[in-house]
Amino acid sequence: MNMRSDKFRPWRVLWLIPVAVLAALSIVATGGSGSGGGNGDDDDEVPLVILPNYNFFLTNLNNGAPLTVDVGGEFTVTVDFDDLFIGNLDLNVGANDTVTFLSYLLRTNNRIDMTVTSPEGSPLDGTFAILFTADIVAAVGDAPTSGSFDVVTPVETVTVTILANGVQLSLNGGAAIDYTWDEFDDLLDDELNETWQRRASLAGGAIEFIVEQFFNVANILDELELVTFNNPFVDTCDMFTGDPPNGVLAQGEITVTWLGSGELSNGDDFTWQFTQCWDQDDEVILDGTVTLENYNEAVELNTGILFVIGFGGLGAGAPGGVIFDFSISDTVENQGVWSIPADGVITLSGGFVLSIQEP
Amino acid sequence: MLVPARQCRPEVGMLLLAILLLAIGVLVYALDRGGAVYFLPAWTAPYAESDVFGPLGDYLPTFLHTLAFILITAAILRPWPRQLPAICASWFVIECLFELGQIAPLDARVAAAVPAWFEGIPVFEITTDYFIRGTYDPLDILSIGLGAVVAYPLVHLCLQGDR
Repeated sequence: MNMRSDKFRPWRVLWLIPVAVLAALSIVATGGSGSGGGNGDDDDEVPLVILPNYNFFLTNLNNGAPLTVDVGGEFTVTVDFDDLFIGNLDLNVGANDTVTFLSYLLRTNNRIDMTVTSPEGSPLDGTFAILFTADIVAAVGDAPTSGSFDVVTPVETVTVTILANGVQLSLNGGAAIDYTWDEFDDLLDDELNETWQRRASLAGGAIEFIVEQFFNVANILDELELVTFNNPFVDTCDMFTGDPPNGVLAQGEITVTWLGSGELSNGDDFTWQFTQCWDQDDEVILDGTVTLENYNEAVELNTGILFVIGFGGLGAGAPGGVIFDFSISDTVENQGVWSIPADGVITLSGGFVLSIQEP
Repeated sequence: MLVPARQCRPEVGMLLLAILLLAIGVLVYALDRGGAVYFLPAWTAPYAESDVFGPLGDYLPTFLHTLAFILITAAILRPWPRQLPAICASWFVIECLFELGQIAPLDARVAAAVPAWFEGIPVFEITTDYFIRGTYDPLDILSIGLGAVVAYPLVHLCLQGDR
């Protein structure tokens, strides 16, 4: 007779702990199967496939430096992305994988905490939250056409509803007031306006500014590989149409420098140096450096689908991101002479982690 | 003097079978998946990218992993046959959670929640990559379920002598 009536030994249950850890680690260890950016130049490499739609994520830098914007010395705005700021992109892929962004969406439940401080004190000073209550939808370069967000302080909530040609503001659920986009933008500047109106305008401007900075970086992602072949890559900016402001070059330049070697690889860094670069369309001078740290790209080996690209890691403690030490100065022209208004300089510091991912 | 051969204990058999299944899973990555996974040394990559397992190779690892860890757990908990449905269900849930964690935008949220101290620790350090770069596939869920279902009669078979 085959007797196998072994008694169960309770201490054996303890073995389940290392077994669970081993199981988790063995699952995780199957990760990293995507190829890094530009890795390998095998003849049989699958061609890169860029999808027409991606999610994107912004989050705070892991070095603790939040995106901070000094607006003309009048006040400073600090942007704190609560967890992840999530959006979605539609894009068009042209020859040589050149990407044109078409439209974007900012997701409901996104939250940004903003802190305003001013040297002389302002009713806007303090911290408030921007809560996205409906997806904000826009074509790239145009004003949004739908969506809503709340601007929340401890004592009031302003609901900003985006209409086809402007916005509607409502304080604490009260009567809604319609504004065109220009009127909404101008609310901030007029100190005679109610603080809640100015704060809503500031919130709208901040969202627009963050989206602009995201697309500024996203737009050069498809050129980075080119930079590795022409390192550093130098391009001239627009030349002033008359006399430039005092101490400003008539024609500045942009220099993108790749700090890696060999092939473009994950973890590489770039510097994006603007030297008094005048943009004639927007009539602004860009000056300073945007550091792009810890390049991150992954391509699905079998299909060639680009499924992650960006700078910095989303995990806590992951290094890198888009780091600004940068200014944007308005320019005004008077009888052929350009100048920079005293309150026309916006200075950026800190930054964000940027990741674009397959949906 | 003739000594009767000592019969192998069933849990030993289950553990050996689990190791064999996991080894097959490693082979799938080594031979068919380009070898470019964390747990394989980089030098294996040039020898990989064959098609030994065919289309099955896409889903075999999740199937085998689930099956193997149910066998290991059942071996540890023997003789508790009544626990078997719970063991199968638990591993199904655990494996599915890892798979579901790869769905965007949940993957980014999971990645953002990964503790900073994981950085620099072997295997732990690629937790973020697993979720961000991994691709969710409903057929993986199916293969996990299949692993859990197949494990049930298999463990019963291994424990046939237990009463």
